[in-house]
Amino acid sequence: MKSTPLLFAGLFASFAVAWCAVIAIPQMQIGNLQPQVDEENADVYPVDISGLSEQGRQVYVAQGCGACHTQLIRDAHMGPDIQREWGARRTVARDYIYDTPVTLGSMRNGPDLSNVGAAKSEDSTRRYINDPRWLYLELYSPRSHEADSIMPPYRYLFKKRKISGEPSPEALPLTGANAVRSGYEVVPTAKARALVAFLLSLDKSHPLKEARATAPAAK
Amino acid sequence: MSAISTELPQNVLENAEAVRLEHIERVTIDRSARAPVLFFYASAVFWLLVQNALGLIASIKIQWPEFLSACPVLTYGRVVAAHGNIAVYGWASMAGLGTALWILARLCRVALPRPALPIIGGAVWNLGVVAGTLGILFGNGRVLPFLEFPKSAMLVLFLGYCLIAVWGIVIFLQRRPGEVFISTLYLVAALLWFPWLLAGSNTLLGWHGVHGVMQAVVGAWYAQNLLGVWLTALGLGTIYYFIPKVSGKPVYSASLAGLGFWAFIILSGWTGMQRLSGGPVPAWLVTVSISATIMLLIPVVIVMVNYLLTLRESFSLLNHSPTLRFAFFGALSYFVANVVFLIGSFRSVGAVTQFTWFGVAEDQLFINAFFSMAMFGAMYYIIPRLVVAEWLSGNLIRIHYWGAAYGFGMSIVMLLAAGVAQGSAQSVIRIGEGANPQADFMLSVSAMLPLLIGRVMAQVLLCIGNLVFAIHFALLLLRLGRPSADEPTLFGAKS
Amino acid sequence: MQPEAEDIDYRETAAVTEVHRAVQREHPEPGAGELEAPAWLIVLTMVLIGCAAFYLGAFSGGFSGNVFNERVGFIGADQAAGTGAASAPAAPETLAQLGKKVFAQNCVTCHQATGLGVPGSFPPLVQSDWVLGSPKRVSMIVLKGLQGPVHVKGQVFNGAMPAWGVNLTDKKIAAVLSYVRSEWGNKAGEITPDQVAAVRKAVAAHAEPWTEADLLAVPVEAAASPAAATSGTAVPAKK
Repeated sequence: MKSTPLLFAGLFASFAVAWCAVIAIPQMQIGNLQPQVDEENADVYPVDISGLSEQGRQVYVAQGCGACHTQLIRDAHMGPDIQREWGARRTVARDYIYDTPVTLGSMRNGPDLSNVGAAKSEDSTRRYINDPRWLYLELYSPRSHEADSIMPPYRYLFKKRKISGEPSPEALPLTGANAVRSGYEVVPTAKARALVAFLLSLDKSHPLKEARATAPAAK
Repeated sequence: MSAISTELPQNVLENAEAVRLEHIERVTIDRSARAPVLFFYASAVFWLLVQNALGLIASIKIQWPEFLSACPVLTYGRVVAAHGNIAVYGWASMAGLGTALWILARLCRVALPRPALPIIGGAVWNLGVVAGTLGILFGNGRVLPFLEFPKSAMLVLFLGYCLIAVWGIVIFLQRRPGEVFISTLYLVAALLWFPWLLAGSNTLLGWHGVHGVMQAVVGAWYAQNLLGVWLTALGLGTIYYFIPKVSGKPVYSASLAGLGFWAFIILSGWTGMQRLSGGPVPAWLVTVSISATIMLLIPVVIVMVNYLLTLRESFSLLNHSPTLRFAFFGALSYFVANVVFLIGSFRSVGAVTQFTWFGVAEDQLFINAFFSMAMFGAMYYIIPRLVVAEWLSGNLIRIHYWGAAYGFGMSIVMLLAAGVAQGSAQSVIRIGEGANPQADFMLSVSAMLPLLIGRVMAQVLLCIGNLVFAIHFALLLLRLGRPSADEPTLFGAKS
Repeated sequence: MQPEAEDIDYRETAAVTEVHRAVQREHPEPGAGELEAPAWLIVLTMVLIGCAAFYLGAFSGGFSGNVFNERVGFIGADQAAGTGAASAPAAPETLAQLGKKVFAQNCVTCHQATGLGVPGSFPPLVQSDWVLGSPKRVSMIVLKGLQGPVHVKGQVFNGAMPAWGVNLTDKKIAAVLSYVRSEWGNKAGEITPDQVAAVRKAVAAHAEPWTEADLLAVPVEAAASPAAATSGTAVPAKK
């Protein structure tokens, strides 16, 4: 190979063609998706979150939760995500159009979180999860829910303080090894509140044309 | 030991004067490269130790979640992100750049012009890594694998990189006329591909941002190109240099090598989307990457054929030469890395191995078993020529080799096993309906934990080996090596 | 810069032989031979390209941006397996589910949520022969409206039902009809949008709302439409 311009051109062409094929073309296909709108029912999905939930997304990213938790549901033939009630259907591109940054995650050391905030039916095996009190306790002490949990405790997202007057309604119900001294309570900081608000906003189960609901009907 | 080999017709040097001038030329090149390359290597070894420490902390946290959990700076998510990024940008890239500059200078037979400027570039690059690491640890990290550094840190890296790589290109452009050796092609390709990759991805994430799932698409493409083109091209170029150099035999086939190079360059950019298999991206995107990965076996096999057949009469050298042994380990690992990556890409396998430690093992096969070992081999060859002294002790090299080989090897095997165990447990629901779903999920956690203890042990071995290497290297920098002699420091007495 | 012989510091030369032993004992910079590719490598290349091409053909889902499941279009895969594969954009809900929404938005004011209507004012839909009987007649009612006295379950109602064909699509009309024919204990088959479209076309020329006599003049067609679902629409669950 003697010709320098040919080498440079060949390298650049290979790069550019690959870039066009796997970046530019998908960008044209799924880069500018709009929410699905159903005029008859004034139903728009997805909607952008804002305020406390959006701040919570930043807390989620800053704590690196994606190192152990994913936020995507696969088809039934790829795995029992749906059977596990992590979601009513697989997730598709339109589910994430307002997610900045998009927190798909890459490891499942812990369960998937795509639909933590989705409404659960009475007999859902996951009906405990969209309760903020459960989520606060999970963040403070995961082992109080699951003795062998490998999730680290996020105590620094909470503060212990003296009870002034009435105990706070947000105070965590700590017992056993986690119990605090009488007269003290543990309450969530703003970061914890934001994070829980974010988790409760996670709902990717709304039906979409490109992804039919496949939740098992029989209970 | 004879310094001249008569195997290469184009280099038959009967004239003693010509020989002497060639030696002087090499010395001049080495002297011009000394300061920048040693600076890069010193930075790389520093980051290697930091990366080892962070990796060990992360592994301990998996077994013992309360370990250092009170400190938000060291929370698991941040430590893991910092570990991965330092491994690639701190250790691997610095070692790769140092090696690339030296090999290019030697092959093009051009001394490094203005050595001060690559050093400035290296300092800026290190600044970027520091800024990125602190960004992650203090909560400003981002989310995509190998892109967790804040975007400002990536910009600093880019600027530092340009100051370094431009000299590699300048050397190439000023090369002596003649056939371009295969290593030169790979190294130049790497030097050009990386800034395009950095720019072509980071602008789409940080400045002219894409929305939604496209961020993950860009991220997956970037991560795979980072490992599969940037590090791979540097590593392949390095091994292509050292196998014939140490053995004294020519590369088996130049035309095969060229074919393999172009196939690699054309196909590698299309891979990466299998990281999003099953995910919220159009199916064709994942399929295209899997097809490209199937075809990528062609250049992989070509490269292995060249490596093995070049060494066909010299396997006994592996007993003695540290450089050759490390480089050969890297070469074999390259093959294994690609085969494992291909197997894991298929959807039927990915359904089980996705989102598990298997993916971590796949990355480590590229970064550690292949690239890092190749870099160690290069460093064992190059550093004595820069400091003009030999390694102090063959035993210290031996400790490093076994620490690294067992450390990387066992770590990867344990991760593969843990990934398969975790994935198999997660791919079926074992407990009865109505029972606690957490209990079923915990089956996958309890399946993987014992195997991950094996990984912790492997990492301890690795830390020991790398620490020994770092000390050995520091001794050389402090002029405490063996004086340059007729024999290099080898594993054992040469027969 | 290539070192010329004159540029070299010759005091170095003694040092070269004394100190730079490493450089002296090196092999020359590597070169490459020209041995040919083994035949098996060429065969392997062909095989790999073939595999890659097959995989690409089988799992690309038409290179569409809407196909997320690679098994769509896969040779031999069972597309109706109900695994969530979306070949063409299917309705997100059944006809009856849509019908429930249409009913709630348009019909409930008069016919009530119970389907029992208001005695003396608005006829009931529950167990009504008009609802359960001929699909064509009930489609005509919704499309063009009804005026004058009409007998429903032995009672007479003399109101005016507006023509919904102006505001509602065939699909919505089919949906609401399917809904009322399967709700409140009613058990009659679905009406498809195509059936409504056919009726709409047939009566396009007629401008006025129907009278009871007009409707009774329409012959009742043969056995009610089968209850078996076509692909994409499940039989609605009973309450």
